[in-house]
Formats: sequence, structure tokens, C-alpha cells
Amino acid sequence: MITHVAFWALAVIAVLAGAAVFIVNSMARASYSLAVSFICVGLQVLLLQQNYVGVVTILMMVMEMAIMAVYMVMFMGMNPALMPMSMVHDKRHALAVSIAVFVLLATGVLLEPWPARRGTPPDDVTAALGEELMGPKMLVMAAVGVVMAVTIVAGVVLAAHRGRYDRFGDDLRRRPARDPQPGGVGR
Amino acid sequence: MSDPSVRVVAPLWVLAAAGLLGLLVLAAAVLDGALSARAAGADVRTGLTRPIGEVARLMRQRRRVTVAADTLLWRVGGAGLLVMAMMIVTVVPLGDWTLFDLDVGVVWFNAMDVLAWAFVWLTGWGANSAYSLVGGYRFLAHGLGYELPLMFALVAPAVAASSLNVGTIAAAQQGLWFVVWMPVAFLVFCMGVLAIAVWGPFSPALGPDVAGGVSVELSGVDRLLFLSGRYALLAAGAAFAVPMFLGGGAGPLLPAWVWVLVKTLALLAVFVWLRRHLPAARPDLFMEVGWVVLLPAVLLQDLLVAGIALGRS
Amino acid sequence: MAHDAVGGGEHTGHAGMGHGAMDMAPAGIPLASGAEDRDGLELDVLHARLGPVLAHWPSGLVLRCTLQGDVIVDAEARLIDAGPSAPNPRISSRHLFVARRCDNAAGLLALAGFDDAASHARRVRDAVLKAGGTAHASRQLYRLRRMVRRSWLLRWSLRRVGPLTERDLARWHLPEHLRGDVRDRLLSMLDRAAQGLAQADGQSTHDQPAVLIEAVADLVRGWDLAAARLIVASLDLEALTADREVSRV
Repeated sequence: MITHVAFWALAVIAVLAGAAVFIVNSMARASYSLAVSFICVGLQVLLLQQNYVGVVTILMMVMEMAIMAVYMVMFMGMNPALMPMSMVHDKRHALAVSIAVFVLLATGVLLEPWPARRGTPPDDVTAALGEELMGPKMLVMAAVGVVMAVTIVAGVVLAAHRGRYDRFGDDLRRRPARDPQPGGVGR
Repeated sequence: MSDPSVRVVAPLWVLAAAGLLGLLVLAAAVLDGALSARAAGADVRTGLTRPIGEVARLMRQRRRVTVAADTLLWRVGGAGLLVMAMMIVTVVPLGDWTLFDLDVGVVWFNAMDVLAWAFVWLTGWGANSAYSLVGGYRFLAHGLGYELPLMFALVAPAVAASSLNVGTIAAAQQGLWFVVWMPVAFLVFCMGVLAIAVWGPFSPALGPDVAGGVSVELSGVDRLLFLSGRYALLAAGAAFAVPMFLGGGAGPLLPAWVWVLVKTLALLAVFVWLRRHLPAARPDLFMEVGWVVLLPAVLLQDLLVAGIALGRS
Repeated sequence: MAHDAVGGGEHTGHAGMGHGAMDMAPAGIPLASGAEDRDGLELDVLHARLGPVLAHWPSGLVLRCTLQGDVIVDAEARLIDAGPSAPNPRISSRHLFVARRCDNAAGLLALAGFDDAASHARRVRDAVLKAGGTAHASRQLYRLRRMVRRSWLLRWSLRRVGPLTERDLARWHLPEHLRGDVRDRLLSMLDRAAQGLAQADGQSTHDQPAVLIEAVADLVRGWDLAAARLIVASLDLEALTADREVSRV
């Protein structure tokens, strides 16, 4: 009973916090209402007894929103704590698309004949879910993770404003390197 | 999934856990006051009573108001650290008892410590003051340096015990504590605890050079919550280190719960003592250390632990 | 109070910057304008004032800084209330010299976050100013110097910050003892305190040579706020004796 009430309460909070993202007029508030929405979803997943997935959702999303708030503030070029600004763009099309998607998904949920439970859940539901989702493609998924990390590093390296020739000179022999401010390892 | 060596107690014991955490906070604050008084050449007894006087002063102080502050986010950030500490303590077994026997307790700790990114930054942001915002960004810059090493430090005990449950990890080190054969992971974990408590070397976010940084405009109850939240995080981090690295309730003569408290207090005292003895690790310096030194070191530690765990099984 | 100086500087720093329309000034604070920063990104520019009253800061010095993030891209220094300070007849100038060095070292150590050493330096200062405390003070000072010299973490934190070569010293007419980085200057500060303490009372103490105020602004340009505070503290300025730091421009 308590679980049911908690689940529905979390669901309502998650949706409201998600809507608040577009209603509030500051970027910090928008980022962190999204974080609240995700935390509620993470707690719901905990209630579904997918403990690992639920806790990791909370972990990732809070960290992500902390970073996102920083980037939003950095790239918008205005002091957004002071300047109230609208969080929506191209209102009419966005509204039409989101209502259409919602109706489609809700219809799907209501029309789908959900199966009744057969058997009992396995001991380790997280491992079972992983097997079910990825199965024999686990190696591919693991490799994709590494490729993504390498892509990020490569992207940063390509985008870096100053390369090693700027730091160490044309013959790479200048020591200590010319940096705006020295780093902690003394390279 | 739950470990038979740990018993879940009734939810009402949450109050007792909160009281215990409060006592640890008080002990840490009194110790810090005494050490500060001794260093300043004053009577140590004046330092002992300082935290109590400070609490009384802050309870009566009026709130400072700043122009165009984001009050909601500011208050949430200030009170958040204390909540974080409480959530961490719920998964720490006190001897045989635990409040919340989560099968992924280690990940839970990690999820809670990441909340510091949000709360400290929000406290710095909400006041709408340049210096507190500088402090908030300094914390995030520290976070980029310490978070990944901390995550991989948490991996080592979990791999060795092949479980993410805190009680199981404590039970897995009967005989040999994990701190003995994974010292790098332990040190990096302690560093992470200091960092989430914005303590000692990780206090540039509250530095005197920016007039108190994140806390510059905090006053009254908000300041009290923020400061006690830092002590609470230190205490919670020390308490979490006990089942992870220090053998949990293992020890001769005394009952297990007493040993957990003794070890927690000892580690907490070291944390408090470190504050005055270590200079600040400014984020511009620490960032490189975190990525170039600590991350590879703790990854090697994980590799070593994984190898040993594989050999033993 | 340090808080007041900080809070006030932040808000009044915007005043006088013309941004035109008032609707771009929520709560009466005009929005910042952007400019290219040292990495070639466009970043907001904030005008903030450091001083004249700030913890661990030479009082009377005002730095008008242009900040991008926490990097000082431009700075302009001036003094307020420059005038002769009344000498204290009860304390010899030699003891004042030593006490000032210890006080400045305490400020620098506090900014570096080394609280224990900072408290120690303050105790040495108090011992020097107390009548008949010289012997005690020199023992304490010896221990402080050993503590500071031996801390490798302090060395790691202060080395390569604000380096001054022979050429820089000549360019800004700075005294010889400011050569090196912040750590070198901290050690030289403590050494000169020890020298001052070792001298006999009758001997004339070297007057602290004047430091050009314009040099302070030049030295902090391009460093972030934390490093800039360390650099200013390491210049070992005389607080409250604004007449000593002369402006030659």
C-alpha cells in the first residue's frame, strides 16, 4: 500500500518538476528542476526493485545537471540569475509535437495488453535485466563505451585552443612550459 | 540479497542515528575549537565551548538579505549538506544493526556524495554575490578532479568482497582489513571525504581570499546548517570508511557497535586535525594531480585488487 | 568588515557602466558585457574592487579589477587616505619592523590555507610587540621558519606563482628581496624578520623600501583571484602607512 502511494506521489512530482523546467525563468532553476524530476524517477526505479539502475540514475543525473547548469550559464553569455528569461523556444510547434507524442504513448500504454506475471523474479534482477536487454551483444556494448570515451577525449584534444607547440615552443624543448598559470604536476 | 550478518532495525531508530550523528558533529566541532585555541596560544577550554557559543549566536542572528538572490535555491543548497550526511549514514551498519540494508550501498554512497556538487554550487549561486559564485565554481573545479578517483576508490573494496552491500564488505574483511592491502584506495577515499565536506585542503571554495567564498553571505540559521552540514559529512564519511576499509565492527573485547564508533571517532579526529596542518590545494593545481596522478594510481590499485580477488576465487 | 567591502564592491562596481536600457538591469543591476577571454572564448566581464578593507590585505590599497570568471584580466591600483601614520612611541621601530613582517607572513599563510603556521606567525608577532618578549619570540620564529621551510605541500602550492626575475625587479623598481616566486618571498619575509630580531636595539633598521603601487596592478594581471591574493600578500607591503608606498606616476 505504502509502496503504491509512494510510487504515484513520485510520479506526480516527477511530471510536475519536468513541467517546471519550462515554466521557471532562470537557467539554474530549470536545470535543477530537471534534476528533481530525474531523482523522482530514480526513486521509482528503486521501488521497482531495480536498485542498481535506480541509484545509478540518481548519481548520473545529479552530476549531469550540475555540469549542465555550469555550461548553460557559461554559454548563454548573460547573467541569468538576474535576467529572467523564457525557457521555451518555438512554442507552437513544440507544443503540437509534445502533445502528439504524449497522446501516442498514452494510447499505446492503454491499448497494450500487459501480460500477467509468470514465475518469480530472479535473485539478481539487475543482472537479469542486463542479460535480457543486451544478451549476446554485451561485448559490443562494452566496446561502444570505450569508443565513446575515446571520442570525447579526441574531441577535446581537437578543440583545444593551445597545443603542445604553444606550451613547449616549436622545438618542444621549453621548460617549464608556458602556461597562463602553472599546473599541479609541474609539467 | 541482504547479508545475514546485518539486521535491519525498525525505522524509528532513524532518530537515534540522527542523534548519534549530531553527537559526532559536536565532538568534531569541539575538537576543532580546542585545536584552534591551542594554536592561537589561548586557553584550550575557551575553544571547547566555542562551538556552543557559535550555535547560540547563529540561532539568534538575523538573516542577511542580498539583492536579487535566488532564495529558494540558496536555502536548498545550505540545508542540503546535512541531508546528504543523513542519507549516507542510513546504509552504514553499526555493528550488527543497519537502517537500510541496500544491496547497492556503495553506489548509494556515491550517489549521495555527488549531491555535494549540486548543493555547494547552489549555495554559491543563490546569494548572487561574485565572491560566493567564485567559491561555487571552485568547488565544481575540485569536483572534476576528485570525483573520478573517489569512484574508483570505492570500486576496490566492492571488487574484493564481490558485493556492493556495505554489510557484506565489512564481513569480508575478518582477519585482514582492506586498508592494509588497498592503502591507495583508502587514502583517495579519505581525500574524497575531505573534498565533499569542503574541508582542509579542499576548502578554497570557502577560502579567506574570497572573503569566505560560498559562505560569504550566509548568516543565521542558514550558516549554522551549512557549517554543521560540513561536520556531518566528515562524520558520515568517517563512518562509511569503517565498514569499507577498517574492518567494520571487528575488534577484541568490546562489542561490534562500540568498535564502529571508536574507529569512526578516531578517523574523524584525524580529519579534523588535518584541517589546520595542510595548506589549501587550489583547484588549478589539484585538477592536474587528480587526473595525472590519483586516477592512474587508483586504477592500478583496482587492477591489483581485481587480480588478487580473481586468484583467491 | 571584509564582507561589507566585498559585497559593496561587487554591486557598486557596475555603477557607471553604461548599458543603456533600464530593462536590461533587473533589480537595478546592469547586465555584464562580454569580451574575449585568454582562451579565446567569449566570457562575461565583471568589474569588482578588492580592498580597501579586506582580511589579509594591505589596508588602504584598492585594486579595481576586471574579472572574467575568476581571472583578473585587468587591474588598476590606487591608495586611499594616503598620509603619514602616527608612529607609536612605546614600541621601537625595529620591533615594529619585525612585527609587520610576521603579520604579513601570517596573512600570506592564512591565504594559502595553512592555518597552523598562520596562528604561529601571529603569536610571534604578539611576542615581539610585548615588552621583553624578544628571546621567546626568536625561539618561536625559528620554529615557524622550520615549519614553513619543511612543508612540501606549501612548497607545491606556492612555487611558480608570481615569479619575479632580476629584469622584472629592475622594470618596476622593486627591492631585491622580492625576487623569486611567492614561496621565496615568504621565506625572505621570515628571514628578514629574524635578522631584525637579531640586531641590537641601537642599530638602525633598514627602512622598508617603497613599492610602486602601479607594480601591484601589473603583477596580478593575468592571474586568478586566489593567486593574485597570494602575490599581493607576498609583496610584504606596509599596511596603514600609505605614505610609504609612493606613486611615481
